[in-house]
Amino acid sequence: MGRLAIRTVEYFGDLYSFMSPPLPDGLVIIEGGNGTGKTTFADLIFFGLGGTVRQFSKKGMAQHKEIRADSNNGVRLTITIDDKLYTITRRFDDAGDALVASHATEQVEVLPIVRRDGRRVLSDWLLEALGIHVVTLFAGTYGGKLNFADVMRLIYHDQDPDPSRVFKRNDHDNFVSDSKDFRRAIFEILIGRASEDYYDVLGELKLAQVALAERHAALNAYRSAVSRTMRATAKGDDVNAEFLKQELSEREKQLERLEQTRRQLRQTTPNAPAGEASLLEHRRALSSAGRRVADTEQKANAVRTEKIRLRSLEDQLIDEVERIQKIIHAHETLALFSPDTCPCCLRKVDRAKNNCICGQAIDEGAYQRFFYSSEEYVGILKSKQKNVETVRAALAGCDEELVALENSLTKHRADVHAARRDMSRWAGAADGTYTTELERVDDELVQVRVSLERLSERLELELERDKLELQANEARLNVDRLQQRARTLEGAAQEDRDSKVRQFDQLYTSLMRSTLRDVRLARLNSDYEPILNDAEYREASSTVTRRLMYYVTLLQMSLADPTMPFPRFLLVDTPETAGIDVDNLSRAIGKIPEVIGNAAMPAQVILTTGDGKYPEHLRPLRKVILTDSDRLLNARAIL
Amino acid sequence: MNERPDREAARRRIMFVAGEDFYFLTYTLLVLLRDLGAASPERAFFDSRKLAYLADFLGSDTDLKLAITEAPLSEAARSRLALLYDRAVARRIAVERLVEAIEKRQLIHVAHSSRNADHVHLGHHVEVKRLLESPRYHPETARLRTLRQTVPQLRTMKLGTLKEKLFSTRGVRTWGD
Repeated sequence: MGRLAIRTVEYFGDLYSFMSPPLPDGLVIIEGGNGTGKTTFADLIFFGLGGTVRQFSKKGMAQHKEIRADSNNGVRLTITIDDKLYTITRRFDDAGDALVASHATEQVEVLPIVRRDGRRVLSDWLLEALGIHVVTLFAGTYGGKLNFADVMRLIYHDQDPDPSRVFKRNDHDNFVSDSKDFRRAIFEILIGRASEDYYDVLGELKLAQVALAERHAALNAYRSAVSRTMRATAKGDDVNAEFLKQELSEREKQLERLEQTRRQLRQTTPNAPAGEASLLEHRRALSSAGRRVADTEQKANAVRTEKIRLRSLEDQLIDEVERIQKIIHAHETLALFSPDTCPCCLRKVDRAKNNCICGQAIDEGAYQRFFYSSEEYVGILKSKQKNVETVRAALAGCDEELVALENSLTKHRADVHAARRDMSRWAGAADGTYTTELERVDDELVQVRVSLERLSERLELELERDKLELQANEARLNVDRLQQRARTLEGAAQEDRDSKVRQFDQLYTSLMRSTLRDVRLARLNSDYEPILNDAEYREASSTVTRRLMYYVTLLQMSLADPTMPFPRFLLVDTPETAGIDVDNLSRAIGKIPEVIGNAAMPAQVILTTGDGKYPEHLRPLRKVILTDSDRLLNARAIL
Repeated sequence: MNERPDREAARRRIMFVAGEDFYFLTYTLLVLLRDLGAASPERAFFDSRKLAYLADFLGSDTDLKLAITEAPLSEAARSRLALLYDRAVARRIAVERLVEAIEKRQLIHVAHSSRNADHVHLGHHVEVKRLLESPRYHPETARLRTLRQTVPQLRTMKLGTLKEKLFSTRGVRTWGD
């Protein structure tokens, strides 16, 4: 799987800057006293990789003084993933995006940090490059995609005030994403491909279950809508599409027979067309009156919209008139500015006639003044008042037009009513006894046509319902398939997990036994939290070693198994701050180069630590030394 | 020959914008100081730049509604609020000059306590007293009273907080700092 290494760390800004020397593989030590910038160094790396660092945020109490005071500032990390070189740049003033540049392809991508609208984010890019699936994790009804910051919780050994917690604190105070389930998933994804595949399928399964629930809901809503329509049109006759098609075909045949009969009758019944012509005439009259009503309503609505717009304009103008009256009043009372007031400093300038404010000779009429005189203010007021009058006149015009339109509307509505009445009369007359066989056939034809139309509508609804049933069935099959796959993978993942946990216990015990003299057995409990000597060992000074060796064990496992997703990289920030025994700490740190040195594959561990708080023989591995006079953001301390 | 002065007068009339007039800003500031009780150094109004952002809300009932409503703003209302913000940013320099000018005329007193923010309070000026006695400015007083119900502590509030309360929380992105 992919390997991550940090090659350079750069801080840039208007006030401060820092550029690290090239950082090699193996253990890299950043040494410095308290307050010299060790944690800032580690946090800059974490921030550059998309993490949230409270001290760098604009909000909150404990802000990083230099970084927040600086401007145009940001972090630039040069990293390698599987020996491919990339540069990631993230700014502090615009921390929502990061710029990723590939040195090999010269491609540059702007990636958001926060997941929104399904856009690809920096975390997705990092996880993809490292070959870790961006799985969707669920806890109850909450679902979220795996983020690189989640994975960093077992890679970045930060300065936690409570090192008895193995996992780095969550970036955001979210009780779900910090739940035991999420932590278990992160551990399992980092240790094994099989677990990663399992979580991948679990995520897919959860999404498929959501899709199935949606399809069911859509189908039920449709069923109930269709059954309501059926009740209204076909008295609740619930018939499937095949039967409807059959019925439709029978009606079409019936229609054909009736039309044939009618054609024969027309040849023998001379009066038939008169009734048809009359019906057509009534229909035309109704349709024309209806059109007139619609047109008039449209016009009236347009006038009402115009009226609203004018009313708003009138309000604005009245506001402005009142404001000008107040301005005039203030001008007359205070007399602060005159046409000869300097526009820059607002002082009065004694300007000679035919001269500009700067002394240049000009035509007096062309002198550009910046302030208004009382007369001018009054002129402006009058002009605005006139505008108010114009708008009011337009409003009155709208009112008149509306009255006229309302009158027309009343008339057109009466026409519609009359046309409908005529139609009913005509239909009533036609509904009587059949004077001719032709009228009877016509009547039957109408009924068959109406019935055909209704059947077509029902068929359409039924076909749509079939489509929804099919989709719901597909969603159900997908859920079944994924459940089956999840069951299969669960077995494999469980087996893989058990074997990895056994391996972890073995390596962890060995590291802990060689670091703490009174530890005999170290193992993981079901939540992957470490237990020492079957929970009997609770020495407070051992908590950092317990946590640090946990991270080192993961690194060691990944160095022995190229398929393990753990990215063979650790970032360890000042582990000595939790009151650890110095000898224990020194022994623990000494284990890191041993683990890396014995492996066939390369790895990188960046460790920030206090002055001399590590074994003496590791001094050559120091790459940055920070002192009170040569702090991280004051000077560049490069060996 | 006689056309030019007429044309010039018409041009100046058209160029007039009531919201940018110095007298508009002057009477708004004076009403604001009087109604917030900023009449002594102890009760000074913090940061006169806030005037640029408050002026439109104190000058119009329609605009004030945008700052006090609890309902979510429509697209058109948000766009109007964004326009008010742009106008406020544009008038910041005018406010700065105005404060300096009326301080020289002793209408107000200004103390500079920090690099950006100043402390302003009313001076004992006869004309100012006369101006403020006029009932013309009662609408401004009423609007300020309404605004204070939604945005209390206007006198001591920091500029950033004011901008956040009036604009950012209502979906208008602030800029120009």
